[in-house]
Amino acid sequence: MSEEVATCLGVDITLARLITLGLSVALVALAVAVAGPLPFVAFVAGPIAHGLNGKNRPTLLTAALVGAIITLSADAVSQLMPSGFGLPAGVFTALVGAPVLIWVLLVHYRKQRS
Amino acid sequence: MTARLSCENLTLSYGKVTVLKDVSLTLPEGKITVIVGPNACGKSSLLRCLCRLQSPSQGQVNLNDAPIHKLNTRDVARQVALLPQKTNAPEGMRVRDLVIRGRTPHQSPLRQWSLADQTIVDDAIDRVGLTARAEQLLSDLSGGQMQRAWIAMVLAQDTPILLLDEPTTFLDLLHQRDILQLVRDLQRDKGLTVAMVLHDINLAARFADQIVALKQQKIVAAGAPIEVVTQPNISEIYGLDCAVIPDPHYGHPHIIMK
Repeated sequence: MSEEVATCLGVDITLARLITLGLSVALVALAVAVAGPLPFVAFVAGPIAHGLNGKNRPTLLTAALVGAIITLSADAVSQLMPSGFGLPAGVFTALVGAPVLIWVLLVHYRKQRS
Repeated sequence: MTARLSCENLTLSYGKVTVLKDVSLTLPEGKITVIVGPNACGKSSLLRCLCRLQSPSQGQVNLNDAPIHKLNTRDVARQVALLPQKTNAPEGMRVRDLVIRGRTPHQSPLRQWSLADQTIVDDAIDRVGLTARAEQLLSDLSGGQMQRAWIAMVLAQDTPILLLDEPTTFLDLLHQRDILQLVRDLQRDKGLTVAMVLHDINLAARFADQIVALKQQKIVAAGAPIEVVTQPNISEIYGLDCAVIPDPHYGHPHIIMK
Protein backbone atom coordinates (compact mmCIF):
# COMPACT_ATOMS: atom_id res chain seq x y z
CA MET A 1 0.00 0.00 0.00
CA SER A 2 1.27 3.47 -0.75
CA GLU A 3 1.82 6.24 1.76
CA GLU A 4 -1.09 8.13 0.19
CA VAL A 5 -3.47 5.30 0.92
CA ALA A 6 -2.17 4.94 4.46
CA THR A 7 -2.61 8.66 5.15
CA CYS A 8 -6.11 8.62 3.70
CA LEU A 9 -6.95 5.70 5.99
CA GLY A 10 -6.04 7.91 8.93
CA VAL A 11 -2.58 6.53 9.70
CA ASP A 12 -0.06 9.07 10.99
CA ILE A 13 2.90 7.86 8.92
CA THR A 14 5.61 9.83 10.72
CA LEU A 15 4.45 8.54 14.09
CA ALA A 16 4.12 4.96 12.82
CA ARG A 17 7.68 5.11 11.40
CA LEU A 18 9.10 6.47 14.65
CA ILE A 19 7.42 3.76 16.71
CA THR A 20 8.54 0.95 14.37
CA LEU A 21 12.10 2.26 14.22
CA GLY A 22 12.32 2.76 17.99
CA LEU A 23 10.90 -0.68 18.68
CA SER A 24 13.24 -2.49 16.28
CA VAL A 25 16.31 -0.65 17.59
CA ALA A 26 15.34 -1.56 21.16
CA LEU A 27 14.74 -5.24 20.27
CA VAL A 28 18.03 -5.54 18.36
CA ALA A 29 19.93 -3.80 21.15
CA LEU A 30 18.46 -6.21 23.68
CA ALA A 31 19.23 -9.29 21.60
CA VAL A 32 22.83 -8.23 20.89
CA ALA A 33 23.39 -7.32 24.55
CA VAL A 34 22.31 -10.81 25.62
CA ALA A 35 23.67 -13.04 22.84
CA GLY A 36 26.49 -11.02 21.29
CA PRO A 37 26.72 -10.24 17.58
CA LEU A 38 25.57 -13.06 15.26
CA PRO A 39 26.31 -11.89 11.73
CA PHE A 40 24.52 -12.98 8.52
CA VAL A 41 21.52 -14.64 10.18
CA ALA A 42 19.13 -11.96 8.93
CA PHE A 43 20.53 -12.06 5.40
CA VAL A 44 20.10 -15.81 5.13
CA ALA A 45 16.92 -16.48 7.13
CA GLY A 46 14.75 -14.17 5.00
CA PRO A 47 15.50 -15.70 1.57
CA ILE A 48 15.35 -19.26 2.93
CA ALA A 49 11.97 -18.60 4.54
CA HIS A 50 10.74 -17.06 1.30
CA GLY A 51 11.80 -20.15 -0.62
CA LEU A 52 10.20 -22.50 1.91
CA ASN A 53 6.96 -20.58 2.05
CA GLY A 54 6.37 -20.22 -1.64
CA LYS A 55 4.72 -17.10 -2.93
CA ASN A 56 1.71 -15.35 -1.54
CA ARG A 57 2.07 -16.09 2.12
CA PRO A 58 3.53 -13.86 4.81
CA THR A 59 7.06 -14.98 5.65
CA LEU A 60 7.53 -13.34 9.06
CA LEU A 61 6.86 -16.40 11.20
CA THR A 62 8.84 -18.77 8.98
CA ALA A 63 11.74 -16.32 8.88
CA ALA A 64 11.77 -16.13 12.67
CA LEU A 65 11.81 -19.95 12.93
CA VAL A 66 14.55 -20.36 10.31
CA GLY A 67 16.61 -17.68 12.06
CA ALA A 68 16.18 -19.44 15.39
CA ILE A 69 17.22 -22.81 13.89
CA ILE A 70 20.35 -21.30 12.29
CA THR A 71 21.35 -19.57 15.52
CA LEU A 72 20.74 -22.69 17.61
CA SER A 73 22.73 -24.94 15.25
CA ALA A 74 25.62 -22.46 15.20
CA ASP A 75 25.59 -22.37 19.00
CA ALA A 76 25.43 -26.18 19.20
CA VAL A 77 28.42 -26.54 16.85
CA SER A 78 30.47 -24.04 18.84
CA GLN A 79 29.61 -25.82 22.10
CA LEU A 80 30.53 -29.22 20.63
CA MET A 81 33.97 -28.01 19.55
CA PRO A 82 36.86 -29.23 21.71
CA SER A 83 37.14 -26.77 24.56
CA GLY A 84 40.53 -25.50 23.35
CA PHE A 85 39.00 -23.71 20.34
CA GLY A 86 36.49 -21.55 22.18
CA LEU A 87 35.08 -20.08 18.94
CA PRO A 88 31.90 -17.98 19.41
CA ALA A 89 28.67 -18.96 17.63
CA GLY A 90 28.93 -15.81 15.49
CA VAL A 91 31.90 -17.28 13.63
CA PHE A 92 29.82 -20.25 12.50
CA THR A 93 26.83 -18.19 11.39
CA ALA A 94 29.30 -16.13 9.33
CA LEU A 95 31.02 -19.26 7.92
CA VAL A 96 27.73 -20.69 6.71
CA GLY A 97 25.94 -17.40 6.11
CA ALA A 98 28.44 -15.62 3.88
CA PRO A 99 28.51 -18.28 1.11
CA VAL A 100 24.71 -18.66 1.25
CA LEU A 101 24.32 -14.89 0.93
CA ILE A 102 26.63 -14.80 -2.10
CA TRP A 103 24.68 -17.68 -3.65
CA VAL A 104 21.34 -15.89 -3.04
CA LEU A 105 22.71 -12.70 -4.60
CA LEU A 106 24.00 -14.62 -7.64
CA VAL A 107 20.64 -16.32 -8.19
CA HIS A 108 18.89 -12.98 -7.89
CA TYR A 109 21.33 -11.36 -10.32
CA ARG A 110 20.85 -14.12 -12.90
CA LYS A 111 17.07 -13.90 -12.56
CA GLN A 112 17.19 -10.16 -13.21
CA ARG A 113 19.42 -10.55 -16.25
CA SER A 114 17.30 -13.19 -17.91
CA MET B 1 -24.53 11.43 7.36
CA THR B 2 -23.30 14.32 5.26
CA ALA B 3 -20.19 16.42 5.33
CA ARG B 4 -19.17 19.57 3.59
CA LEU B 5 -15.87 19.87 1.80
CA SER B 6 -14.77 23.15 0.31
CA CYS B 7 -11.67 25.15 -0.40
CA GLU B 8 -11.02 28.87 -0.36
CA ASN B 9 -8.46 30.76 -2.42
CA LEU B 10 -6.29 27.69 -2.68
CA THR B 11 -2.81 28.30 -4.04
CA LEU B 12 -0.21 25.57 -4.32
CA SER B 13 3.35 25.92 -5.51
CA TYR B 14 6.30 23.59 -5.65
CA GLY B 15 9.26 25.96 -5.44
CA LYS B 16 8.72 28.43 -8.25
CA VAL B 17 6.19 26.34 -10.13
CA THR B 18 2.60 27.23 -9.35
CA VAL B 19 0.25 24.26 -9.57
CA LEU B 20 -2.99 25.88 -8.38
CA LYS B 21 -3.83 29.55 -8.36
CA ASP B 22 -6.59 30.99 -6.20
CA VAL B 23 -9.02 28.08 -6.51
CA SER B 24 -12.28 28.21 -4.57
CA LEU B 25 -14.71 25.33 -4.74
CA THR B 26 -17.49 23.74 -2.73
CA LEU B 27 -18.52 20.16 -3.38
CA PRO B 28 -22.34 20.08 -3.52
CA GLU B 29 -23.53 17.61 -0.90
CA GLY B 30 -24.88 14.33 -2.22
CA LYS B 31 -23.84 15.15 -5.79
CA ILE B 32 -21.10 14.13 -8.21
CA THR B 33 -18.54 16.76 -9.14
CA VAL B 34 -16.18 15.95 -12.00
CA ILE B 35 -12.94 17.88 -12.40
CA VAL B 36 -11.69 18.10 -15.98
CA GLY B 37 -8.92 19.93 -17.77
CA PRO B 38 -5.81 19.40 -19.87
CA ASN B 39 -2.76 17.57 -18.51
CA ALA B 40 -0.81 19.47 -15.85
CA CYS B 41 -3.66 21.90 -15.17
CA GLY B 42 -3.69 20.99 -11.47
CA LYS B 43 -6.59 18.50 -11.37
CA SER B 44 -4.86 15.85 -9.32
CA SER B 45 -3.20 18.45 -7.09
CA LEU B 46 -6.60 19.91 -6.30
CA LEU B 47 -7.89 16.48 -5.32
CA ARG B 48 -4.78 15.85 -3.20
CA CYS B 49 -5.30 19.15 -1.39
CA LEU B 50 -8.96 18.33 -0.78
CA CYS B 51 -8.01 15.16 1.09
CA ARG B 52 -5.13 16.84 2.98
CA LEU B 53 -2.38 14.81 1.24
CA GLN B 54 -0.98 18.11 0.08
CA SER B 55 -0.76 21.27 2.15
CA PRO B 56 -1.59 24.37 0.13
CA SER B 57 0.85 27.28 0.04
CA GLN B 58 -2.01 29.69 0.62
CA GLY B 59 -5.70 29.41 1.34
CA GLN B 60 -7.28 26.44 3.04
CA VAL B 61 -9.47 23.40 2.70
CA ASN B 62 -12.45 23.20 5.03
CA LEU B 63 -14.20 20.07 6.20
CA ASN B 64 -17.48 21.01 7.87
CA ASP B 65 -16.11 24.55 8.16
CA ALA B 66 -12.98 23.52 10.06
CA PRO B 67 -9.52 23.67 8.43
CA ILE B 68 -8.78 20.10 7.34
CA HIS B 69 -5.03 20.28 7.96
CA LYS B 70 -5.60 20.96 11.64
CA LEU B 71 -8.05 18.12 12.18
CA ASN B 72 -7.07 14.74 13.59
CA THR B 73 -6.07 12.56 10.64
CA ARG B 74 -8.21 9.64 11.81
CA ASP B 75 -11.27 11.89 12.12
CA VAL B 76 -10.69 13.13 8.57
CA ALA B 77 -10.37 9.53 7.38
CA ARG B 78 -13.85 8.80 8.72
CA GLN B 79 -15.23 11.63 6.58
CA VAL B 80 -13.17 11.63 3.38
CA ALA B 81 -11.92 8.66 1.36
CA LEU B 82 -9.60 8.84 -1.64
CA LEU B 83 -8.93 6.34 -4.39
CA PRO B 84 -5.55 7.41 -5.81
CA GLN B 85 -4.75 7.19 -9.49
CA LYS B 86 -1.99 4.65 -9.06
CA THR B 87 -2.70 1.88 -6.63
CA ASN B 88 -0.53 -0.99 -5.59
CA ALA B 89 -1.08 -3.62 -2.99
CA PRO B 90 1.54 -5.85 -1.36
CA GLU B 91 2.19 -9.22 -2.96
CA GLY B 92 -0.04 -11.97 -1.69
CA MET B 93 -2.95 -9.75 -0.68
CA ARG B 94 -6.45 -11.05 -1.26
CA VAL B 95 -9.54 -9.01 -2.12
CA ARG B 96 -10.98 -9.34 1.37
CA ASP B 97 -7.65 -8.35 2.99
CA LEU B 98 -7.65 -5.15 0.97
CA VAL B 99 -11.24 -4.25 1.77
CA ILE B 100 -10.64 -4.89 5.48
CA ARG B 101 -7.95 -2.16 5.37
CA GLY B 102 -10.78 0.29 4.66
CA ARG B 103 -11.93 -0.12 8.26
CA THR B 104 -8.60 1.18 9.61
CA PRO B 105 -9.87 4.63 10.67
CA HIS B 106 -12.67 2.99 12.63
CA GLN B 107 -10.32 0.75 14.61
CA SER B 108 -8.35 1.59 17.71
CA PRO B 109 -6.80 -0.32 20.59
CA LEU B 110 -10.07 0.23 22.44
CA ARG B 111 -12.32 -0.60 19.55
CA GLN B 112 -11.51 -3.98 18.11
CA TRP B 113 -12.84 -5.72 15.01
CA SER B 114 -16.57 -6.28 15.41
CA LEU B 115 -19.45 -7.98 13.66
CA ALA B 116 -20.52 -4.57 12.34
CA ASP B 117 -17.11 -4.15 10.64
CA GLN B 118 -17.46 -7.61 9.13
CA THR B 119 -20.91 -6.76 7.75
CA ILE B 120 -19.65 -3.48 6.25
CA VAL B 121 -16.76 -5.30 4.55
CA ASP B 122 -19.05 -8.01 3.18
CA ASP B 123 -21.51 -5.39 1.94
CA ALA B 124 -18.75 -3.39 0.24
CA ILE B 125 -17.46 -6.49 -1.56
CA ASP B 126 -20.99 -7.42 -2.55
CA ARG B 127 -21.72 -3.91 -3.77
CA VAL B 128 -18.89 -4.03 -6.31
CA GLY B 129 -19.85 -7.56 -7.37
CA LEU B 130 -16.74 -9.36 -6.14
CA THR B 131 -18.32 -11.67 -3.55
CA ALA B 132 -17.38 -14.75 -5.57
CA ARG B 133 -13.79 -13.53 -5.81
CA ALA B 134 -13.36 -12.26 -2.25
CA GLU B 135 -10.71 -14.88 -1.46
CA GLN B 136 -8.76 -14.42 -4.70
CA LEU B 137 -5.36 -12.81 -4.91
CA LEU B 138 -5.43 -9.23 -6.15
CA SER B 139 -2.69 -10.09 -8.63
CA ASP B 140 -5.04 -12.61 -10.29
CA LEU B 141 -7.72 -10.01 -10.99
CA SER B 142 -8.31 -8.18 -14.26
CA GLY B 143 -7.94 -4.39 -14.45
CA GLY B 144 -11.66 -3.77 -14.02
CA GLN B 145 -11.97 -6.17 -11.09
CA MET B 146 -8.90 -4.66 -9.44
CA GLN B 147 -10.44 -1.19 -9.63
CA ARG B 148 -13.64 -2.61 -8.14
CA ALA B 149 -11.68 -4.14 -5.27
CA TRP B 150 -10.14 -0.74 -4.49
CA ILE B 151 -13.53 0.93 -4.68
CA ALA B 152 -14.77 -1.66 -2.19
CA MET B 153 -11.92 -0.63 0.11
CA VAL B 154 -12.91 3.04 0.07
CA LEU B 155 -16.56 2.01 0.50
CA ALA B 156 -15.65 0.02 3.61
CA GLN B 157 -14.17 3.25 4.92
CA ASP B 158 -17.83 4.31 5.11
CA THR B 159 -17.28 8.04 4.53
CA PRO B 160 -19.83 10.61 3.36
CA ILE B 161 -17.27 12.03 0.90
CA LEU B 162 -15.53 10.01 -1.79
CA LEU B 163 -12.70 11.33 -3.97
CA LEU B 164 -11.57 9.40 -7.04
CA ASP B 165 -8.49 10.29 -9.10
CA GLU B 166 -8.99 9.10 -12.68
CA PRO B 167 -10.79 5.88 -11.73
CA THR B 168 -11.21 4.81 -15.36
CA THR B 169 -7.75 5.48 -16.79
CA PHE B 170 -6.58 1.96 -17.54
CA LEU B 171 -9.94 0.46 -18.39
CA ASP B 172 -11.68 -0.32 -21.67
CA LEU B 173 -14.93 1.38 -22.70
CA LEU B 174 -17.28 -1.13 -21.11
CA HIS B 175 -15.42 -1.15 -17.79
CA GLN B 176 -15.18 2.64 -17.77
CA ARG B 177 -18.96 2.78 -18.07
CA ASP B 178 -19.41 0.09 -15.40
CA ILE B 179 -17.18 1.82 -12.87
CA LEU B 180 -18.83 5.19 -13.36
CA GLN B 181 -22.29 3.65 -13.25
CA LEU B 182 -21.28 2.01 -9.96
CA VAL B 183 -20.16 5.38 -8.60
CA ARG B 184 -23.45 6.92 -9.73
CA ASP B 185 -25.48 4.14 -8.07
CA LEU B 186 -23.52 4.49 -4.85
CA GLN B 187 -24.00 8.23 -4.81
CA ARG B 188 -27.77 7.75 -5.31
CA ASP B 189 -28.22 4.99 -2.75
CA LYS B 190 -25.97 6.29 -0.01
CA GLY B 191 -26.21 10.01 -0.69
CA LEU B 192 -22.44 10.23 -1.11
CA THR B 193 -20.71 13.44 -2.05
CA VAL B 194 -18.34 12.47 -4.86
CA ALA B 195 -15.54 14.36 -6.57
CA MET B 196 -13.52 12.73 -9.31
CA VAL B 197 -11.00 13.61 -11.93
CA LEU B 198 -11.83 12.36 -15.42
CA HIS B 199 -10.11 12.86 -18.75
CA ASP B 200 -13.03 11.97 -20.97
CA ILE B 201 -15.34 14.99 -21.30
CA ASN B 202 -18.15 12.88 -22.69
CA LEU B 203 -18.10 10.54 -19.70
CA ALA B 204 -17.88 13.58 -17.42
CA ALA B 205 -20.95 15.12 -19.07
CA ARG B 206 -22.86 11.89 -18.66
CA PHE B 207 -22.06 11.16 -15.01
CA ALA B 208 -21.54 14.59 -13.41
CA ASP B 209 -23.99 16.83 -11.61
CA GLN B 210 -21.38 19.54 -11.61
CA ILE B 211 -18.35 19.90 -13.87
CA VAL B 212 -15.38 22.00 -12.81
CA ALA B 213 -12.98 22.83 -15.62
CA LEU B 214 -9.42 23.84 -14.84
CA LYS B 215 -6.98 25.47 -17.17
CA GLN B 216 -3.56 26.77 -16.33
CA GLN B 217 -4.00 26.29 -12.59
CA LYS B 218 -7.35 28.12 -12.41
CA ILE B 219 -11.03 27.27 -12.54
CA VAL B 220 -12.32 28.59 -15.86
CA ALA B 221 -15.81 27.11 -15.81
CA ALA B 222 -18.05 25.42 -13.27
CA GLY B 223 -21.64 24.31 -13.35
CA ALA B 224 -24.00 21.73 -14.79
CA PRO B 225 -22.63 19.74 -17.77
CA ILE B 226 -24.92 21.58 -20.17
CA GLU B 227 -23.41 24.91 -19.09
CA VAL B 228 -19.78 23.85 -19.08
CA VAL B 229 -19.54 21.49 -22.05
CA THR B 230 -20.06 24.05 -24.81
CA GLN B 231 -18.17 24.62 -28.01
CA PRO B 232 -16.57 27.93 -26.91
CA ASN B 233 -15.56 26.48 -23.51
CA ILE B 234 -13.94 23.37 -24.98
CA SER B 235 -12.06 25.42 -27.52
CA GLU B 236 -10.84 27.74 -24.77
CA ILE B 237 -9.85 24.99 -22.31
CA TYR B 238 -8.27 22.49 -24.68
CA GLY B 239 -7.66 24.66 -27.75
CA LEU B 240 -9.69 22.04 -29.60
CA ASP B 241 -12.12 22.71 -32.41
CA CYS B 242 -15.25 20.62 -31.93
CA ALA B 243 -18.99 20.37 -32.27
CA VAL B 244 -21.27 19.76 -29.29
CA ILE B 245 -24.40 17.69 -29.85
CA PRO B 246 -26.92 16.16 -27.44
CA ASP B 247 -26.17 12.46 -26.98
CA PRO B 248 -28.93 10.34 -28.55
CA HIS B 249 -29.66 8.30 -25.39
CA TYR B 250 -29.87 10.81 -22.57
CA GLY B 251 -29.45 14.22 -24.14
CA HIS B 252 -26.23 15.10 -22.29
CA PRO B 253 -23.85 17.33 -24.21
CA HIS B 254 -21.45 15.25 -26.28
CA ILE B 255 -18.41 16.62 -28.04
CA ILE B 256 -17.28 15.54 -31.48
CA MET B 257 -13.71 16.49 -32.30
CA LYS B 258 -12.95 18.08 -35.63
